[in-house]
Amino acid sequence: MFFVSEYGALALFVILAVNCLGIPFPTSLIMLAAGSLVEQGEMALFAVIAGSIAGAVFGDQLGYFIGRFGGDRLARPLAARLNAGTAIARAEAFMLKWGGIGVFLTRWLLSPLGPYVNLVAGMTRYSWPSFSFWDLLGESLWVVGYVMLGVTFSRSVQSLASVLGNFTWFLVFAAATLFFGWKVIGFLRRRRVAVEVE
Amino acid sequence: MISLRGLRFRHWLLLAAFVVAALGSAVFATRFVVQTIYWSMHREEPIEGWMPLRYVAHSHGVEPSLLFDALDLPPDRWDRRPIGDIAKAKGLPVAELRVKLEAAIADARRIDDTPPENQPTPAPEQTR
Repeated sequence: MFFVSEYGALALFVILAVNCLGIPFPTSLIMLAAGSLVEQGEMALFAVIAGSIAGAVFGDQLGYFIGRFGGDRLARPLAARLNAGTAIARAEAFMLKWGGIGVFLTRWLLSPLGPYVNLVAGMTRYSWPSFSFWDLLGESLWVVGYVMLGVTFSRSVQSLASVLGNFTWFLVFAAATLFFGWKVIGFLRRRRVAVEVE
Repeated sequence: MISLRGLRFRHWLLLAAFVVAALGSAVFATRFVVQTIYWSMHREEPIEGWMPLRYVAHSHGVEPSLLFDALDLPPDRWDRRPIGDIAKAKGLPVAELRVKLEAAIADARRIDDTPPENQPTPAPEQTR
């Protein structure tokens, strides 16, 4: 936090950009604490928000292009050699259908998944303008939301960060539970049909 | 009747993933609820190494100069070092500084809570 209050928006830019590449930082606490500093008159609201959104979007773009070039150079040739081309085609179809909403939700609601979605979006050559649009929208929502929460509850940002962190992980696990539950129901149903046909 | 006998390995894997995800959801939901309840009752934060002195003062609703005094530091508006760094500079453990700060905050509270008869009586026209 010393880093943030001393170097201000530039520090937020660097921390969020690095975090979007998957290197973990307590970014929710940092956003909330920045909001608290705004409320105490130590930082300017506009600088905090602009620096943070710029950093987050920059980091996401880096992730996307690492996925895109890394995918072309490494993943595709490897998949071709392993005859796993269909897996990539399926991932591409999935991204085409769910990409926008996936990118949007993993910016703010399911944020721990963000760095991986960036790579996958690049690897599957998900449209760059769509990615950028949903990315900007989602990151803006995340940054403005957390900073304003920090302003509102400026006296207890550490507890708030912990509460919100648990809520976010609950949502990630709940989404996984629904996904796997749906798969499990699917194969159990197919089995029952198969048994009845016999 | 659904029986689980004769499932393929892939299906067992999916089932295991489902159970793990459901357990994870339950754990985080519980932690979320417990912390929300705790937080709604304790707005003041336990002092941690990352916190600058001004933040501790803000969180506990006391004057920052009081906390700078407690650590024998000049009350410098631009001293934004977190407690961890102050402790390092002083060669003391964070826990020791925490004890001093908590004592200073408790002192400030005691003065605030002193019954009115021990304080100078306010002029009648100022009381309501």
